[in-house]
Amino acid sequence: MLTYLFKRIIAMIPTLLGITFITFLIINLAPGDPVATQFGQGGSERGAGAGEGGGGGDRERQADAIKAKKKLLGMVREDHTVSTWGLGEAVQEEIQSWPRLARLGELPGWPQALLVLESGALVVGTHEGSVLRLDAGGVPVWTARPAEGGTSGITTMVRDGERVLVGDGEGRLTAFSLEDGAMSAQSTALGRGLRDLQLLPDGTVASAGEDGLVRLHDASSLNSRQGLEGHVSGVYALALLPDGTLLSAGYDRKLRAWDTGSGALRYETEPLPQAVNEIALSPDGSQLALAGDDRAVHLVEVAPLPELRSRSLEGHFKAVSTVAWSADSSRLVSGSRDETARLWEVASGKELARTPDVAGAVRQVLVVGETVYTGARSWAEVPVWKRYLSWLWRTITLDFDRSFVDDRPVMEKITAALPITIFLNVIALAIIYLISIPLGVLAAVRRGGVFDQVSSVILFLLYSIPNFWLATLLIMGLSSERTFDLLPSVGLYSRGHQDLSYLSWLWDRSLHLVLPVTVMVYGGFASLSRYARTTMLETIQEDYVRTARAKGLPEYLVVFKHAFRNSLITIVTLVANLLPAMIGGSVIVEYIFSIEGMGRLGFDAILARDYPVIMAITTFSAVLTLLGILVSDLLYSVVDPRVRAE
Amino acid sequence: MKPSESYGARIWRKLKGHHSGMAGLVIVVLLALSSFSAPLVANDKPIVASYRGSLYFPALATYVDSWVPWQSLRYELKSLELTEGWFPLSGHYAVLEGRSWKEARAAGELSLDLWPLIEWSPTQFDRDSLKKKPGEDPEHLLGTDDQGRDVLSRLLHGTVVAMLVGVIAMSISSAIGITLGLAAGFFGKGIDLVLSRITEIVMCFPVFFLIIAVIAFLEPSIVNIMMVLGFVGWTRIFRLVRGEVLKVRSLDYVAAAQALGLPAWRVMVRHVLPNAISPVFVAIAFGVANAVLAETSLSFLGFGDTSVPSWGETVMQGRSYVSQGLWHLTIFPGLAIFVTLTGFNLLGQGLRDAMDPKLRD
Repeated sequence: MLTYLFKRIIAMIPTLLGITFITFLIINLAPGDPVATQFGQGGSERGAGAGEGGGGGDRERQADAIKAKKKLLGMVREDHTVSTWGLGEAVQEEIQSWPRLARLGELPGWPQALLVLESGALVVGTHEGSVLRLDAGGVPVWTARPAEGGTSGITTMVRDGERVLVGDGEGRLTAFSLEDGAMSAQSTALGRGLRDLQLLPDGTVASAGEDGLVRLHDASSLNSRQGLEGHVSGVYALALLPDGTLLSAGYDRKLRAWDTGSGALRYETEPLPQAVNEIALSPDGSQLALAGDDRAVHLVEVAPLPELRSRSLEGHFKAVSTVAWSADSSRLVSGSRDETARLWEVASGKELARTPDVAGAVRQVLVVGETVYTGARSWAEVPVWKRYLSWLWRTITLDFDRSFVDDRPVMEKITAALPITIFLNVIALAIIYLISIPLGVLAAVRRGGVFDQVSSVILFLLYSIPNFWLATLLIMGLSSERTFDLLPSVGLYSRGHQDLSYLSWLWDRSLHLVLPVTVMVYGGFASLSRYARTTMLETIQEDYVRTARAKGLPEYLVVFKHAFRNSLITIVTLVANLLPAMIGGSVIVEYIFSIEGMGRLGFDAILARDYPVIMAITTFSAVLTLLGILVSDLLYSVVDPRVRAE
Repeated sequence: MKPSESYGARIWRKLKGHHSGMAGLVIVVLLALSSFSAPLVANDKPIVASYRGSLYFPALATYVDSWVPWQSLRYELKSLELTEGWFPLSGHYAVLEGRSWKEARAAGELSLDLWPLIEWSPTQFDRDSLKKKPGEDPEHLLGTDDQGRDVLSRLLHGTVVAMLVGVIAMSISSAIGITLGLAAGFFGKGIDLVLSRITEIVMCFPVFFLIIAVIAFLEPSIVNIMMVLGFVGWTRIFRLVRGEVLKVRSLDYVAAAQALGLPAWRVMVRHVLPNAISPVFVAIAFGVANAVLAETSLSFLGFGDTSVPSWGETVMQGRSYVSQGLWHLTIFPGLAIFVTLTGFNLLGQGLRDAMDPKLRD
């Protein structure tokens, strides 16, 4: 018996693989972006960075959400590395291909803030709030966090001698030792995020806050000493001019200059077309590059400042979020939400190179010597075979992730719905068996008689009634105010059923079951009773039945003790073959009677394109069916040991 | 029993003696007749009309509209007719200056016109006559639905949809099932193993759920529905054919055919298949019933093609208006489905009994 069981289970493995393969195929071949339809293509045109935490606009978060859902499907994975590109590698003829030099680090989150030390070592702040120091080869030296358990990302970093100052999405300013990552000072949290930091000549730290203030922080305690008021909305960028003037800009589009000693506003410019995300001063001190939400990098001469006469580098098709100069001030690198970083020749305004496959909004670019570093919210495509393997593993471990619709775990939804469907089907199957087996046996005993013919015709007519029609007719006739309002037709219990006493609860429950169960059973009578009749006819012709008759046993004993008991077993094993129809068939019944079972769950999931639920239900029911077949085979082999020998 | 009686003749003789099987056959024939005559019985265009001196047969154009489910082919045929004037399609589309035939008749411009019994097409909206019950509007014998479409006309043209779905879906299923079953049974070994496994896998899926999912992802056109029904419904035929071929293959005459040096395909197609195919007819009869049920269920759930008059769609409307008492929307199309299913099921049952060797007389 055990070897047979083992053999059967081994034989099931290819089938299981096939089932997972087909569900996988359905989802991957589903036309269009499986997720985009959920979110539409809308979103604010501005996409400005008035967001929470680590900044980033609605559009960027939306794009991330779509990719997160693709990640659920195993199509993409988050790529937590810093990429490097060579300034000299830029190929002039082919703009598209800027070869990537390396991917550094396997970080705990997306790199959002970067700092490069002389040795080529790197300090990275991530979107989930870690600060890491990596050596030149990308191996982590130390990891620190401004707030344990905090969820806000690191937004900006600046180096101050032997320590690194880190600003995060909750407005905290923290100092870590570059040597070992030990925290040396921390300011109180502001609540709104910091977007940029600038070290002033006197050791004071200036910060740009999303609440619209430029703050000056005390060098040792890091607490805010003075707030510079002038901006009407979030400040995103700071820069220090060679003459000691502090520049700031942000969502209100105006560039403002401050006297850091007195804190007075020196001047403000005319507004730029849209929000400014970063200001970068060229190393020769002659020009400013402004990263604009208007998809352009604006170049501003420093000297005649009050009037803003700018030239712009255009090419990005989404907001430019970051910009950096090469050491000789001749070239410029910009990073954008359009998921590319681009290299520009400043004098001619020509685009020299473009990163091909960052595949995520660029958050920071840095140029150190001949190397360009990019930190981006990248996503990497997962190769198909890996996708399949991970889908297979998830099927085996029953990990179907979360629903797209309400973010509840899929297994939670299924474990809530499955018992209802099974409950209904068990009742229905019991009724089908209780009614159709006696009918079949009787028809076999009286073969060719009136009962045989009449019952077969009636059952056949019942079998031909479409179940949705009968359900509608029953509702029309028995559950409508216009006719008889005898039976409930919605759900499995009345409102307020919890307060009923046990008996009236049971009565309420039973009333609700009448219509759905009726619709589920009538179609099964025909096939099962016919099967019972055939099996019974075959058994009656067996020799042992003839022997029983020849012994002179009364006819009822011959029929029930000898024939019926032997044919019953084969009929019972038929249960397994009815399983595939269970979930498919329950779609209509549960839809019509508003029952929250598997069929209804699947129906709603299909309407909402809730892929994880669809995949889970398909896999679940296929595997259940397979198990049913296995059980049926095992039962059969218990009854008829000859099967095992095959 | 006459010794020279052929297999087909014996089946036919036994089927003739099988009352319910014959009843099924009669129903199926009537349905076929109804579907062929629907454009001439219920149409908003005249069968024959004389307009400005030339003779038109406008109702014939409906044959192209309702009997050709492939939209591109339909457009192709229409354009051939309009631009090339191809016979026998030509002359169905008269230029009525933007008016309908009924308006032309009302204006008294038709010198000769012969109209169908029911002067409504299944997709024509009668805005003045919404949700009429039978008897409330003498123009609509069985009433109208919520958009003013004539229920009787939809019932008649629904036979076209049912026939198309049943026949095309089952053709696809049979083609796949017979080909694969023949290959698996005849060649055996590896091919049989692989094909049987694939069948086992397909059979494990909840078919109806799969159909809804695929239809929801694709565009719910009647062609897609037929294709999907065809592509998931072949497993039963595969198993039947495979089993029969396994039996037939070991017979002496097959060995003889092979010994003659006939190529494998010839042995398969000319010698094995004809003797293994008869159970397929039973499966096809039941399969057509299943396909019709599946299509009407899809329409009932709202996944159907709303451009064709499916019975399921009307039942769905009936369900939405239960509280308004529009019983005719549920009763009549439901009866039509019931009769169709009964017809094909009875026919299948009759064929099965007629072919059952144990019931040989």
